[in-house]
Amino acid sequence: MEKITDTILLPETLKVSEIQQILEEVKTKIPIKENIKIDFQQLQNFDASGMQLILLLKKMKDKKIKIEFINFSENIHKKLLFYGYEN
Amino acid sequence: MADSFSQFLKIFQTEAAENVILLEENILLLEENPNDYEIMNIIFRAAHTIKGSAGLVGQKDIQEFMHAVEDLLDKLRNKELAVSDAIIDTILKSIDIVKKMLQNLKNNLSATDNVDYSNIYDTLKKHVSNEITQIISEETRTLSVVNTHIAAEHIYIIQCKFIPNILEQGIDPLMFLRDLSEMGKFIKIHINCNDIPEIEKYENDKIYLSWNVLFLSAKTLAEIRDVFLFVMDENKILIQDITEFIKHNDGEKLSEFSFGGLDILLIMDEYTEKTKTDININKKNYKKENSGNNNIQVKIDQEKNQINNAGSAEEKSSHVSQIAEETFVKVPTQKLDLLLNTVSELVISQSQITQTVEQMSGRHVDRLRELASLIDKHSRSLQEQTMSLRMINLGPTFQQFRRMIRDTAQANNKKVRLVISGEETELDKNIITRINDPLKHMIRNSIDHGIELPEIRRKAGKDETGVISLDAYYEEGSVVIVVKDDGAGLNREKIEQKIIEKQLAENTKDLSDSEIFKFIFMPGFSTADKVTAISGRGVGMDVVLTNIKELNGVVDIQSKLYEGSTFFLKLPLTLAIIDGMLLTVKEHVFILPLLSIEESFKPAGNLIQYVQGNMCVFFRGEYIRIIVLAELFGISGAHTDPSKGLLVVVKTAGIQYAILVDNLLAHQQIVLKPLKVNIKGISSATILGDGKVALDLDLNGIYNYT
Repeated sequence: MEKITDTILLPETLKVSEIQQILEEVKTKIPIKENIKIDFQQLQNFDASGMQLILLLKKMKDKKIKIEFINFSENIHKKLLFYGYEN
Repeated sequence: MADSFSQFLKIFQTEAAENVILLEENILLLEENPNDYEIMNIIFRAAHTIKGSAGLVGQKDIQEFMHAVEDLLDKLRNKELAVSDAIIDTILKSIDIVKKMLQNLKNNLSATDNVDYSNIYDTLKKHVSNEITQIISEETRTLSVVNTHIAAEHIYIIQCKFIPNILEQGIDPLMFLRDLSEMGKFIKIHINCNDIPEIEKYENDKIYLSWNVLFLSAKTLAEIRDVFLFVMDENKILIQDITEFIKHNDGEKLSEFSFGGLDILLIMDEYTEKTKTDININKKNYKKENSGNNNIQVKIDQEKNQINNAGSAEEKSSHVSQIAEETFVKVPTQKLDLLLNTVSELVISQSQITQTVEQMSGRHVDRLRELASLIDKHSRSLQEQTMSLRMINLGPTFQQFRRMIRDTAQANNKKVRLVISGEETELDKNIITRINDPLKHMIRNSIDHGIELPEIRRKAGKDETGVISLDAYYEEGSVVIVVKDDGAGLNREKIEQKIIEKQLAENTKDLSDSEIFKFIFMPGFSTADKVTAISGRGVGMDVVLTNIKELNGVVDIQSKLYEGSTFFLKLPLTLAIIDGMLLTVKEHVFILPLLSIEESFKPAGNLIQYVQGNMCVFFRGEYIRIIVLAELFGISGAHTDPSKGLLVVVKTAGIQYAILVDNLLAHQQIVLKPLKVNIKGISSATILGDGKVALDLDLNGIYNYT
């Protein structure tokens, strides 16, 4: 049986083609994991759909739904702020 | 529907081709000025427009490819990547790919037919992923903010609510924010996430976000709107100028604008305070951390200069707006030609009316004469205006050589810089099309044989980068195009050896430098020690002379050994109208371009001699050949004895000879009309006021024919 880890590693570029899989992963993990870690380590770039996913996850995180952001780089933070993201 | 689509596709092709040229020109400029923000803006917009328009006409391959180019440009623009030779090469190769794709569309093929762009696509992607993060000092950033602030005239509220399936159209809403950021400063961006559903109902390909932007910019409302040009219809984009309300602290008015429930005046206050504080903090940090860093100092100095020149920035901005507001209509050249033709017919008919009225008498003739004169004035004015429609400036022609010079210089391991002036000089479109090849050959020749290798230039005390300059100016009703290089210059001795070797002349010592240099235009004449891929076969330069001669133009050369060469191409402003001299041979009327006429005279019998079987006249110290038009065209009863007729001395493309005619009639502006048949010695025709046809003499053709 495949081991379900608690970390979702975001790809280098987050765009619409990658998002469905991440959504499915999050949906799968939520009921069985205590904390889901969203790993930003590789993420370099995103389009509007990528930004929207991050905002969706942030919304969930703010609602205390087992989401944790890790390796959230300054570069990505700056980019998100540029497009209107607020802490 | 299919018709309108194919029309859209045609419009796309034309516009994309223009943007590709713009892109190429500015990429080459960026290579020389890697920190020029304006150039980067132009590049980005050109690429972005090609991508956006390609998407709108369903050219997904072009759109996808340009998306990859845009990603790389975005990195450059955000200074996440530095401009390098490799990156410039990649972008230029990408431009070549797009050119091929557009050519395919023009040939009714699929864009990607026989276009292998996988390698270059991968290279683009690799550049994008290998980010070289260049940290720009915060000081520079802050000074940019101040700069923008000083130059700014407007504060806008921009509200963007996109249709949910905008991603399916290949449009990324974030790109609009990136584009805006190039035009000013975001005071505040508020992103509205309220419409994002719970994860169970979330659809990955839908956009739920909307943005409110408080934006500071010197650009006009129309320019800001242009950013959203492609999406304005389908999406909800509201742009409002609130500068006046902010200036007057009009809280009541501002409360009418929705900004995510935030108080706009409060945001402005915070922004002003933050900007002031940032400048102070960063000034201190900069002094502490970066003392002695010359590169950053240069950047700061540049930024400071920009701030000091804020007034001129505003002027520039207003000038740009003015240009943007001008309206242009694209008209196919065939339509212009047809219009010119009809107007020419009108002018000819008008001349006939005037001539007829002159021969009339009677009660109303004075009134008729007045009216004829008035119509004559208007039709001439109409003709001049129509002619001006065909006149285009030489700028794009000159600019297109940047790429060729770069590639040719690189292939020859040489360094060459292009300097352009006189871009605003205008020439008839037909002439411009036909001078491309001659200019190309001359420039290639300059790079291959003129400009020396960097080490040789260094040893000669020259800058290792050679300079080729292109210039144009008006002179005596003509346009002169100058191609100059600071290379090795022409070697008179070597050319003389070649002339003797090829038995082109017996004695070269008495010839002037200019006369000697003109031998390089002879077919098969080359002094190059080796044949290269570019030149050295002696083809090419003769193409220059042939093409220029066909345009009734002349070429002249000045050159100094070790200092460089200058080529002068003198061309008529237009091929459609000439200042002509009407002359007769018996009852036939011929036209000679006035510029070609040196002199006309009745020669005394003793001046006529036969030299090597040719009838010649002694003219200003030398014998020049006489061509008898009556014999050439088989006109019987006309003068064939020069002492009884009139000799007109003409000079064309450096050749001087005399034409024997019966009489000179008048000087007249002639509207030339092409002939449907090819007649040796005749280039075109016109209809005179009395309805007679006059034939325009092809002076080069006549000389070669006889």
